[in-house]
Amino acid sequence: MKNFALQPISVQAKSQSLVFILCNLYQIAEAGTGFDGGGFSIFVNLMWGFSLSAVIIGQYELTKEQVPEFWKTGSAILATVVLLAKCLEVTNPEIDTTAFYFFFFFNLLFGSFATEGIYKPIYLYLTAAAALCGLLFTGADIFFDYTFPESLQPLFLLIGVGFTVGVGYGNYDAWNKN
Amino acid sequence: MKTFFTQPVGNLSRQNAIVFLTINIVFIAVEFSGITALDAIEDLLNFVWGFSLVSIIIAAYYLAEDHVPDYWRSAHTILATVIILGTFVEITDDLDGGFLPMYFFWAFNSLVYSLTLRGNGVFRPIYENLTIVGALFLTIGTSLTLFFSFEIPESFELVGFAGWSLLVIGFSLGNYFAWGDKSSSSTE
Repeated sequence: MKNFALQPISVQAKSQSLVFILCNLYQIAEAGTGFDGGGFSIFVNLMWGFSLSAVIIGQYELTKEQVPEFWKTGSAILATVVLLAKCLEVTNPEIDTTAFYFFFFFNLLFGSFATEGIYKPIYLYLTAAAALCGLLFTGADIFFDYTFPESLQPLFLLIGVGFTVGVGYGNYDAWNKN
Repeated sequence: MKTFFTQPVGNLSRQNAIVFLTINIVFIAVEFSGITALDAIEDLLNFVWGFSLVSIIIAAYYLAEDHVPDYWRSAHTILATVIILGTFVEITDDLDGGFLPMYFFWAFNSLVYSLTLRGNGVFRPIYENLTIVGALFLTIGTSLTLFFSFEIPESFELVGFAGWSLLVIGFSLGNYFAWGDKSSSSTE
């Protein structure tokens, strides 16, 4: 356990990227087939938040040569917001956490502008596209009480794929290069 | 866009101080005039309010880092997280009077921060004193309701409004000018 907690950030971020990908694949499969994993699904949901928090913390270390130091604080806040959103969802699914995700997409989208050259362009664009879709969906909901029509629901798949590949594998690949 | 998010912390703080002041003026104007034209974007304005306040708080550590222990950085991170989460709670749930613990925590921390840095020359004295008086008002007002369930009488609401205004002006303009002073002294 000590070794796990004390491993270098590069190793930690890479393992958490893989965990994040697995959690996403599970959730996409769950949503696609409609099966209910019960307690295991709750565990995966929590792990999704935990792994994403670790990826976010790692992201600062990956980009610190290109961004100001205060981004470290910003990353810590963002990681807390993501983890807390998941904790709230697990505790009480009726709690509306849309605003939490709006903040996350906002940071993900604008953060991607500052990380050019760190991620391969394909992962960067996938992340930006997913973040933009997420920003529109969540923003319309919380600020204007507007829900996009069901015909646009397939766009959620783009968010899912964008996250899984762009954020998950993009970070894994970027840490591999370092 | 890249340059906006990667600009020096001082510039970011100054811009957000102006945004924070402007949003507060808009809120006050809406409250007193009773106009409903901005109701549709109230949540959006609330988000910008929280975001600008968070930016100022993150930057405030760097403004004071020569005068405070290193662990204040973590404390600023915690305070900024509370503000952004409190803003989300306000946006999601229509809370009457707002999310009180967030205002208490912000006012109390602003009071401690300003008293600690008082006389160090980081902030101009006028804004330092405005922040202290405003934060004291807000700390007392919020803690009365929060800890003792005491409803402040309507006749005292004007006093609360005055305290809020002092804190907003002292905090936003204080940070704005402090960053200006810091950058001009470092280029001399």
